[in-house]
Amino acid sequence: MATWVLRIATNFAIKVLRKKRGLPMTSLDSAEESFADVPHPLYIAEWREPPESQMERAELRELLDRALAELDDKYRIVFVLRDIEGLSTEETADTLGLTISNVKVRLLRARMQLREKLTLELGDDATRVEPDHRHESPTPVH
Amino acid sequence: MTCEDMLKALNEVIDDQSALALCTEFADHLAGCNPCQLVVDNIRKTIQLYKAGEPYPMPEAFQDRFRAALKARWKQKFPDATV
Repeated sequence: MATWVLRIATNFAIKVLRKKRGLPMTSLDSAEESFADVPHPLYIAEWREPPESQMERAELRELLDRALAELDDKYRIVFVLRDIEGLSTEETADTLGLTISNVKVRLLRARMQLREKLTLELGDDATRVEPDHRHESPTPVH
Repeated sequence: MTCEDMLKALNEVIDDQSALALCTEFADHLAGCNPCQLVVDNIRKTIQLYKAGEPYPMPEAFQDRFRAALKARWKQKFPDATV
């Protein structure tokens, strides 16, 4: 029952969002997605200090909201359901009508994009490291 | 280990630290790779921040439309129910 209600709510919310943006009401589903297409991290650094002590709460909230809003709808919704609402991968897949594999790929994309945006604002430049290996599959790590 | 394998493992490890025990190749890599350690740490902190955020209040007009949509769908699915 709970998943059914969630599916209604999610579909309704998606329709409202897409209508607002003047987008066609087509499914957000897509063909099978691949981890190979997930962008690699670019800016890698430690975060300076716990964000709550570094900036006003409202500023931090604005940063989080902006980063989340900038995600593509289909990645944002998976992140919200999995990481914020705490649904399992299976529950998320069922709610959104996606395969488990697509949920996992979209979740990673969302996590990586949010990480990138937040690290650009919260990262300590002094600790910045360059990604020291870029792989073309299949290639051993070391 | 290919890049694709690493990204798959990354997702699993963020969700469940015990998954690291199952993916020894990734665990070995992580032990010696500072950039990857930072990425894992960044992502964990990102999730914590969003989880700790305050819930968004639903605007009243949205609440009304949402309830109406739920009622309509319920009626469609269970036409004989008296709600």
